[in-house]
This record gives sequence, structure tokens and C-alpha cells, in this order.
Amino acid sequence: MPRRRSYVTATQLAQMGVCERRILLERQYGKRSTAEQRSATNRGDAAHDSFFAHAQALHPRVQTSLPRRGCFIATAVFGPDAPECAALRRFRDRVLRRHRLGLGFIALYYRLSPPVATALARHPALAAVVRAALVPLARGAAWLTARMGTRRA
Amino acid sequence: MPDWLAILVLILLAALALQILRRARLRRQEKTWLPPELAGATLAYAEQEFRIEQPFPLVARVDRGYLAGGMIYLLELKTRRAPRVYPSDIIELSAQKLALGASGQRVSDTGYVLIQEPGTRRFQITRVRLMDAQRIAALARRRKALLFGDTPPEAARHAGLCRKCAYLAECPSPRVGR
Repeated sequence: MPRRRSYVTATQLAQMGVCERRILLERQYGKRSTAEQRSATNRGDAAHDSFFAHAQALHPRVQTSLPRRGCFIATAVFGPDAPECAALRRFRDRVLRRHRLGLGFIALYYRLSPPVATALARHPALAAVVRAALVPLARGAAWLTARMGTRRA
Repeated sequence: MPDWLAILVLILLAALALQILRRARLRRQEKTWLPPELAGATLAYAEQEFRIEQPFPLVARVDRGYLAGGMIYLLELKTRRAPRVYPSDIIELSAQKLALGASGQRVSDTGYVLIQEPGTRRFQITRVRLMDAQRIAALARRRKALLFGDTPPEAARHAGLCRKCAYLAECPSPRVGR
């Protein structure tokens, strides 16, 4: 069986500039952090999320390894695998994409939805309101696309 | 025009206006810390991971990489109360440079550490000189030797690091009393 390569991360190498003893202690006792360090890590993660969101907003074509999070409002409020998202996607592909006006709406929606989705991820109460408003829309979209499918059959 | 359509158009226009205002605010904010030499640069990478096998298996994620004059300038974001750059920042950026350079991209020896004051929108940027590939490879070899027990580890340079360390109780010779 081929051996899996063990990669060292840039962050692990950076620890060499902090304390070498800590590297060995971490290996011996497992990863450990103080409450202050955990709080700093959380602050750092939040700052990185925001920094990345800003990069995407200003430079939409920037190359990244991260998934382009929260691109769509329905995904932000229902989750990517929800049936409501699937219904709205079907509506987009079977109804909106067939008309010039619909294509214009899709293009506009793709431009506008990322900041709205980011805001919804930050404000759960607002997300709940939008979710409630989107449920009938998603049901209507599902009904319409199902009806179109029946007619075609 | 039906009322619902007018409302929809109004909502879309308002969202468009908000988007334009947000982008303008972000651009203004970026201008406050972006160094003049990167003013016309293109943001090429954001949170982009690079993996190399040689000179040693290394994985590095770049916070931001700006393209200017055919060269990538790396930028690392840190959140700190004091706008201080540490040796670990230089090592991290230098390892990123090594990983990105192996992809054939020209990477500048100059990098940037952007320090954000926690909970604020205040930033301070510091230009740093990055280490060359040989020094980073030597550091990786030393780390490996430490983990194999072939070389004794050095202690932290500052007592302050020991004071905040989660392994203070287990450390054989900390720089501060327990």
C-alpha cells in the first residue's frame, strides 16, 4: 500500500518562530489552548471571514480554494441541499432561462445576492423572515415546474 | 405596470444601490491600508491553497496575493492589539512564497503583514523581507529533527509567550515561574 505523504503546513512551520518546546509538548499532550488563545483564534477566524468576503465583493474573479460561500439567498436561509433550493433551481433552469427577461433577472440576482446572503448569515432573525417569505415562492415554483413537466409528458 | 412588479423593481433598485454603496465603502476602506506600490495591483489570490512536494511536502494557504508587474506580493492578515510583526509571520509568509513559487509564479521577496485591531476597522500594514527557500527548507528539516528527538528544542525567546502558554505546567524549564 502506498504511504500517505505527510505535509507540513506553513502555520506549523511558523510555530518554529514562537517556541520549539511547545511543538513537542503539543505532540506529547495533544493540542491545547487557553481561553484567551481560543478567544483570539475565534476573533482571527471572524476577521479572516470578513476579509475574504470583502475580497470576493471587490474582486469577484479572484482565485480561491474556498467555496464561494453564501452566494445565493435561498442557499443561505435553507441550506444547499434543501428541497426549496432544488425547486428554485429548477424554476431558474426551466422557466427563467428560457426568456430574455428571465436571463436579465438571473444576471441581476447573481450580482446582488452575495451581500444579501452574507447579511442573512449574520442575522438569523432576518434569515427566518426571508425563509418564511421564500417558502410559498419555492412551493409555487415547484408546482409550476411540476405542471410544466406533466404537460410536456 | 402591475403594483407587484413596481414593488419588485423598487426592491431590486434598492438592493443594487446598497451593493454599489457597499463596494464603494469597501474600496475606500482598502485604500486606507493598501501600500502605494500595490495601488494598481490586481488581487490574484484570496484564501488560495498551494501544495508542493519538493524540497519537502508543504501546504500553505495564502490570505491574499496581489499581482503587480508580473510578480505576486503576499499579504497575511493578523488580528492583534499591538501592531507588531513577529518572526512567525515572516516564516509563514516565506513558506507561502516557497509553495506558490513552485507553481511557476514569480513571487516577490517583499511581503506584507496587515494587522487589524480586534473588533475595529483599524488596520496597519508592515512591509517585511521574506526568507529564501534554503532557510525555509532548513527550518523544516530542524522541525523534523525535533519531532524525531534528534535535536534539543529551544525555549521561547520571550517570557511573555511562556506566561500565556497552555503547556506552562508541563514545560521542563519555562522562562517564568508557574
